[in-house]
Amino acid sequence: MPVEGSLKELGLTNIIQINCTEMNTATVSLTYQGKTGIICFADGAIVHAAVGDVVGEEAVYELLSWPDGSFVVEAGTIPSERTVSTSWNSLLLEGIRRMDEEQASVERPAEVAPAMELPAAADEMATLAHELKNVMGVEGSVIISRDGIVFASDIDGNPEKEGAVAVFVGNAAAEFGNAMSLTPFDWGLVTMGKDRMLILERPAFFAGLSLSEKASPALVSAEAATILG
Amino acid sequence: MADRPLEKALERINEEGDFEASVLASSDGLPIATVPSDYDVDTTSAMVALLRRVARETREHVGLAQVDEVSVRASDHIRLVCRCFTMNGEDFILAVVVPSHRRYYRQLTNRAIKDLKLAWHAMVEGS
Repeated sequence: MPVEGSLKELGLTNIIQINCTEMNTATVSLTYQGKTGIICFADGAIVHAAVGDVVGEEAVYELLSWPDGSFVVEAGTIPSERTVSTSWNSLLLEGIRRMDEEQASVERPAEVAPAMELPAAADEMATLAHELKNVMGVEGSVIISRDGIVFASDIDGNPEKEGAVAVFVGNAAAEFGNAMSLTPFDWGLVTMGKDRMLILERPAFFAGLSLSEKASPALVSAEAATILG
Repeated sequence: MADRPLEKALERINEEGDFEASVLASSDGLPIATVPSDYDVDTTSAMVALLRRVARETREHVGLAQVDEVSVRASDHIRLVCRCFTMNGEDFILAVVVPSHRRYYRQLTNRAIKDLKLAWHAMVEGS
């Protein structure tokens, strides 16, 4: 039985993440302002995408840019063709990077978008996570999207769990800022017994840093900010 | 105000820590005591409920020791600090708004939690 819904309620990044992490074979049909598109999954990989005359990876990026619309997921449907070979993580990273650039150009038409707002590739994210872990007082790092997708990590334990903490606190901090009409938040800090996690925000992701017992959040935050740019 | 023990404990840390406001809230974010009493209650209850949710979710997802503090620092260095604790088996949150010129709050909030527990116990015993 097909699953239907609105992209406002369940974004395409989440739909992709769910189908890929659950190793699904399925076809997602999307509709927005009279346009239709599809993304096909086989055993948890994106294997085909099309919207209008555009097929393959570019179609995925266009579909990711739709701010609204509806979707239908039909499980078990075997894709008729294969036009995508890139991993779903890389597709999401590139799609988010493009959206970020587009947003930056809309918000700051007279400025040049900062080159390092979001590193372009997964290995750059991994490098970033590694550099953050090397900051004095940091025992581990995780870089995660606002939707909860772990881009990269250099941490003992489960990066998904640590990342979830960063997302919850980061989003709550942003909401808190709005509720209080305060300036944007510098950092959030969660203390769980002797464990502390520092959460920093960037336009397209949160960075969660596991702190050592005696680390100063302010000092770590300042040093990490120079790495994050 | 002075004969209301919960408010008295909050009033004391506000004075000693220059805190802009402090709120004692139940686990679902319902404010039980707010000092100053005319501080924006809607805002404080909203932020406490929000951070309570965060505390619960982090606890569920991380599965480590119980979350005992969630704090957020704004870029103007004002901080919202939420301390999670239990009194008579029930969960509570103490939220304080710390001004930019104050660095230390942990000792004050520790003492406030101790005072609140004593006051709460006395109120429960007396009722």
